Amino acid sequence: MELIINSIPLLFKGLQNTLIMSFVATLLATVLGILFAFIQIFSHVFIKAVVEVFLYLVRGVPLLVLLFMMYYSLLYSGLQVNPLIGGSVVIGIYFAAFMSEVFRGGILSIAKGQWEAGYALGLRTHQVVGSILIYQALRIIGAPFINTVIMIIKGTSLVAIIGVTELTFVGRQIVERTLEPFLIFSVVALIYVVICYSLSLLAQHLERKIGYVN
Amino acid sequence: MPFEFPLMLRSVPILLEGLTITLTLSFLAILLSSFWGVLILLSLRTGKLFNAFARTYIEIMRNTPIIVIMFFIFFGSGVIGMPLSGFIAGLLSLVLQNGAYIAEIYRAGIQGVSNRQTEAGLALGFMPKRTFLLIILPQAIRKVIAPLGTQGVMIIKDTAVVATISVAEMTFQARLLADRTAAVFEIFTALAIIYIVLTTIFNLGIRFVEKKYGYKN
Amino acid sequence: MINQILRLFKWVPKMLTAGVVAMTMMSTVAAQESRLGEIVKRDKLIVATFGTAPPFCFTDEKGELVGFDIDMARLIAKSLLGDEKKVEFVVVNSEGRWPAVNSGRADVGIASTTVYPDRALRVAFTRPYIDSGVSILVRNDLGVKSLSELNSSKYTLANLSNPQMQERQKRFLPEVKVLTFDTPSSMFTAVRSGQASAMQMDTPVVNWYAANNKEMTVLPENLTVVQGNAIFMKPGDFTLWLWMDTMVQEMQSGSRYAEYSEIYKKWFGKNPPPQRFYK
Repeated sequence: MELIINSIPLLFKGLQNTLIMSFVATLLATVLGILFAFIQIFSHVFIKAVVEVFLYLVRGVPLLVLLFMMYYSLLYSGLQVNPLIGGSVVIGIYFAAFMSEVFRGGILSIAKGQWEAGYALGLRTHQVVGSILIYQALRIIGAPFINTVIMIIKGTSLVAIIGVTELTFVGRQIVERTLEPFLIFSVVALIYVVICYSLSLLAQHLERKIGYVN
Repeated sequence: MPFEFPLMLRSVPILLEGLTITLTLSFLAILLSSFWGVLILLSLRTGKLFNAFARTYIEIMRNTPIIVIMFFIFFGSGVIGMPLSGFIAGLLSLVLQNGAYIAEIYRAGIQGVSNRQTEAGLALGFMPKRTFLLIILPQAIRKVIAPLGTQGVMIIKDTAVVATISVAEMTFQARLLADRTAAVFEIFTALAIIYIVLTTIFNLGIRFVEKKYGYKN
Repeated sequence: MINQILRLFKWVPKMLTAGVVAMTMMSTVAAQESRLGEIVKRDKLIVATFGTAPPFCFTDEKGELVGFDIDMARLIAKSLLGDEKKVEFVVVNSEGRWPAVNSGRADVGIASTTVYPDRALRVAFTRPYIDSGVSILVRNDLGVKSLSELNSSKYTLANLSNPQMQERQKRFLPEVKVLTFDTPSSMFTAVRSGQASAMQMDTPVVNWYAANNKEMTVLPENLTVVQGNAIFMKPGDFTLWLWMDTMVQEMQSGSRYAEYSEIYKKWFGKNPPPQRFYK
């Protein structure tokens, strides 16, 4: 119908923001996730405890509440930060908690013997990690990593509540103007499903092709 | 700005006004989606057509953000002349989405029960359906307590989203309070703490159930 | 005894220094630049506003910010900085408008905001730039003609998520069912779609909706006396407040009345109150 066609440019603009936010959040979550995973495995007990408590707290609170905290803190502090960036950062930190589990599982599941074999061959730590472990870890991490990315993309929809013009917000705006919730929200849902389902197919493919069951 | 602890404590009773709704919504959502998940699972197992429907349903529900589902149902119900309250619309959305996730959890649990059990049951003379119900299913249920627990925590957290469709649960109360006072950070910290307490209690409950009935591999 | 007196004298240099420091600080505070100076230096006015409150501040189909408040902000920028394009809008939500100005993120707020004494504790209001009040918009097909008819549990009222709305609803329509939204546009969508029977909102807003939608009417009774919408800003900055207040005065009864009338007519289809009540 022509309503859909007319709405497409606006929805596309919203989709751009959704994708930008997802990208930034994924980047942040991955970096922090790796960091937290390493801390949880290799660190001194005290630092490990701090990180684990932090991750537990982050996982126990709804993402929406964290987004509100960020939004109001930004406003109160007077910083000139766009809620789009602020939202991406919060989503990134929230999902870093999930990512750290993914990476932790990947690193731990590699048999200790691989480390020892690497050292026995005379390789230094970074060589062991770089040449041997990383490929094994990636095979295990691939699928859950992508599943977390799917969660991140869905998570960006929540910033619609604080007024960021991403896909869901734009959809709501159009519905308020045109009163066609079924039509417009179906299109919005379809866009999310297409993106996320393709990613999940990729994850399934990875799991089948190079997946590594211990 | 200094963090005002007394303000935080004073906001707690007001936030707790929304607790009843949060708890009711969470409880009903968890209960109903557990049953709905069973129905979806059965649909998965009964023939090609039902399987196709169920798979499509699951993939749509898993890949759509909960807020989009809620808007769809809430605003959509108004437009077709049968307006649903925010609570019902939210509950429906939560059940529809989490039923799909839970069906997958059940499926994984069932697959995890060794094939030998099925063979043994059939060898003992049980009909396939009874084998499933009496041998496989109980073991599967005990296996999936942990993932179900994780899903339950996610449901509790997702109830915060219904604040947008006018349900007076805790996050809604927090926003309303934030309009009155300037202590926004304190209010939302208190809110976060309440959620953490809720999810911790729920997690402990799950761990208790797992210890009693869980299936050690 | 002389020793004791002499001992007191050792405090003198300390008191003198303290006094000088105090006076310097006070004069620094007094000489602290008003936000107005900053705005002129920056050559841009930053205004906090909404995006979902027609006809004051909302977005059109292209996603651009438009409305009475928007046009007025441009008029203010033109009068202050010479160019109506020298405005930057910060779009916030209902609870976010107060921290937006109090934290310095925005210079002032022009956001369909009604003056109330408890709000005046947290922000400084200029005099009102437009009359307001709260009225009720109701769907025609329900056949409700008055406030008392609406007060029944078979109707649903759409509220905005602020405390004044709640209090009014409890006072005037205690029996009615309530739906609370965070933006006026979603309240209106609810009424339009049938999810709610009526909504309470600022009188100019309700009148605008009724004028643009044949299926809605405004109930004759107001929920409040005449009130006013005003520009708000962080309290304590007299220089900025004085300029803004003077600007509102000029728009309503002085040199900028012509431009103000233009904006008023554009959005409300009628003339604003006359400049003088006497001829």
